[in-house]
Amino acid sequence: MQVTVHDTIDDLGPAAIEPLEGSPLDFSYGVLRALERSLWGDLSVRYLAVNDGGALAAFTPLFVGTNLNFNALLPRLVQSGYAALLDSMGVGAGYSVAVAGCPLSDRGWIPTHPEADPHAVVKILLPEIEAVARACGADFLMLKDIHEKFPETGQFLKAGFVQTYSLPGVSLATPYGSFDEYIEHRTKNGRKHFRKNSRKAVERGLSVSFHEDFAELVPAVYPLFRQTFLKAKYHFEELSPYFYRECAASRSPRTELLVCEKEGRRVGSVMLVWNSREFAIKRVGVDYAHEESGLVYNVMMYEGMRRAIERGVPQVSLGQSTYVPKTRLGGVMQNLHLYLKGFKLSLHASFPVQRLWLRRYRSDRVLQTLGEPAE
Amino acid sequence: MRNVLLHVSGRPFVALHLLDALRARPEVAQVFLLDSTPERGPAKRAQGASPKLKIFSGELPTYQRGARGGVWQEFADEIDTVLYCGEGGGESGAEQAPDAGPLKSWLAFLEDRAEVRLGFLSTAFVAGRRRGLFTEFDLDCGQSFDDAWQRRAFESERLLRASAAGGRVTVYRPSHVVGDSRSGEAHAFGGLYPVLRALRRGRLNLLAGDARARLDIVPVNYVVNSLIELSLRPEVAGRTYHLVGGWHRSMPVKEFVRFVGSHGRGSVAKVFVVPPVLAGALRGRGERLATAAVFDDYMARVALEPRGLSCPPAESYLGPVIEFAEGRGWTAPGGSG
Repeated sequence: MQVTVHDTIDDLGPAAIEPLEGSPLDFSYGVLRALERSLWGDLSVRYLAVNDGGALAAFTPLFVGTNLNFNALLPRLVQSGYAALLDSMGVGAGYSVAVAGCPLSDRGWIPTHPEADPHAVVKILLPEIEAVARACGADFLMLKDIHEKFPETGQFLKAGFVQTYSLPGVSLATPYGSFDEYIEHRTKNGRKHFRKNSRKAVERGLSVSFHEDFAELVPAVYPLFRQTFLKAKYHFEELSPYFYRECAASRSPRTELLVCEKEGRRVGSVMLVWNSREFAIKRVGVDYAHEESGLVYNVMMYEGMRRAIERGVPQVSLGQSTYVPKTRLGGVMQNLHLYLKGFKLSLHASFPVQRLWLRRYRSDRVLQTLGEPAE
Repeated sequence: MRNVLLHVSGRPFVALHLLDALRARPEVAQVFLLDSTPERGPAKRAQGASPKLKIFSGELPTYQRGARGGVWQEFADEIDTVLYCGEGGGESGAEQAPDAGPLKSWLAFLEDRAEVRLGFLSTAFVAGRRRGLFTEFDLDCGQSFDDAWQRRAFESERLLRASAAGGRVTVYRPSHVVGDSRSGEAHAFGGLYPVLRALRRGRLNLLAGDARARLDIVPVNYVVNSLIELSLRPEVAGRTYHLVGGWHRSMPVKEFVRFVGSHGRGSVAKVFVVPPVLAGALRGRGERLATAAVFDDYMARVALEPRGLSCPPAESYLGPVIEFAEGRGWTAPGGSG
């Protein structure tokens, strides 16, 4: 096996990526290509591919830049202090971060071929990730959102990475023949919630439509996504309109835009991404000026679920926030971890404190404190 | 065919080039110039009326409601597009938004005439101190501002977007505008030019700013050609367009300083870029440049690139821009800045 480094996902291609297992949407050719083609600021990406006998055995993207919001989960004081540092001293005083993984990922797993040895893959890949991160001038390296069941986490710890919790991911299995069957399998409260929201949606005149080729709609719906991003509790990846336009053109995986309207006015939108193995409600946009933005959100989530079940996709990924409605939909929380390695002593020294702070994002603790505001 | 009224109460640099470009466009049947600048720069430069150009000097309310109302009535019904070049430029120290009066008048005009559209020349620096992406869909991101000029432009945009006629208003946000990308020609030397001049003369050896930030510069011909191209299309109403270089065509501040200082010379004057925190301490000995925001120009590129309009990289035209300004002794005809 050997590792090669590439500047574009086109070097690997959809046919080589498709058979890899782990996180079939977050690390898909189409999503990564859309990210690559919509990078902004000094953010850049490399792809580290493990090749075995001429075939792709595994790969991971490595994003490097100063504009990755690496401290989004840390205390507000740390975030505002870091922003003040940059404002007063300039970007040169800040940190350049390398993130191995998909910035959108919520079910991280190094995509590996089913016939490849995951231990050998991680063993050869990990030093290369670190070498490329250092060569790109990163001050620290983050392996982002690694699923708690990923079998090779021991190798990360052995290599000197510090494990912390990330926001839990929410997903659910959907072995249902119809949407009605899915609803029947919800709790009593869940069924009541669905009926109530369906009735209210009709009363309030909300309607939804689906658009596969939605590039032309980007100017209309991007403000909704943007509004949700700016209002969100956690500001992670900041996506430009180009990302949505590129996603509209993706065929591997497929993409679709759900648009919710009231009296001809667009009040919400959701981007749906899927292939035969997984379905993701990937980005949510809501017009918060609309008096019933909560209803709009719920309607879109239910319609997204309906779409997934109609397509016969066995697994639905719901993202990493807004846990109350997502658990009501039947979503199950799963622990995700960040693995951090500082190339500066000051950073490395801060990791134990970060590790303590980030324990609040362990799924059982998040469940206890459910009730965060909708994103 | 369009009948365009160009109202200039500031930004003479862009307005002067805009006037020339409007007169040259075959799709524009008639240009009305309302010059409200104190020095009447655009009206002077136009060198008198012509069959395609009618010139009016003075304040807008004077025409709409005052003694010259009869004159106003003669041409008001012919206008279908208004382009308003407001205060801008940062020269005025007034806290009150000087554009509020004219803009309110134009909004009232739009409410009376459903067929008229308004284009407002704002600035990408309404982003203020925002760090991160700043898109054409953004305005209020909770940002603070470096100066009163940025805040005034921001308030003007808010006024327009909150208006009932806001759906017929197009906002154009250029970044730092310099001369023509081919000839370097500039009809005025305000905006970034004092910095260019100081760097060329070696008088500016302290520059407050972020050395690793990038300076977004855009040539005036790209701004005016884009603005006119967009103004002539009905679908732009209600939208905002960034007429900027964007990240990949911008220059790191350090590189900009080196380029300007060394262009056509063997040596480079020593210029130190000091952290923004020291900007206040410099007290006029340095200029604050660059912004933490990255301007996204998705809408402009989607609309303009198919029409062959794109912003060239700064390195390709900064040379001619400097040469032209030096050839004119950094003084525009009539001394207009």
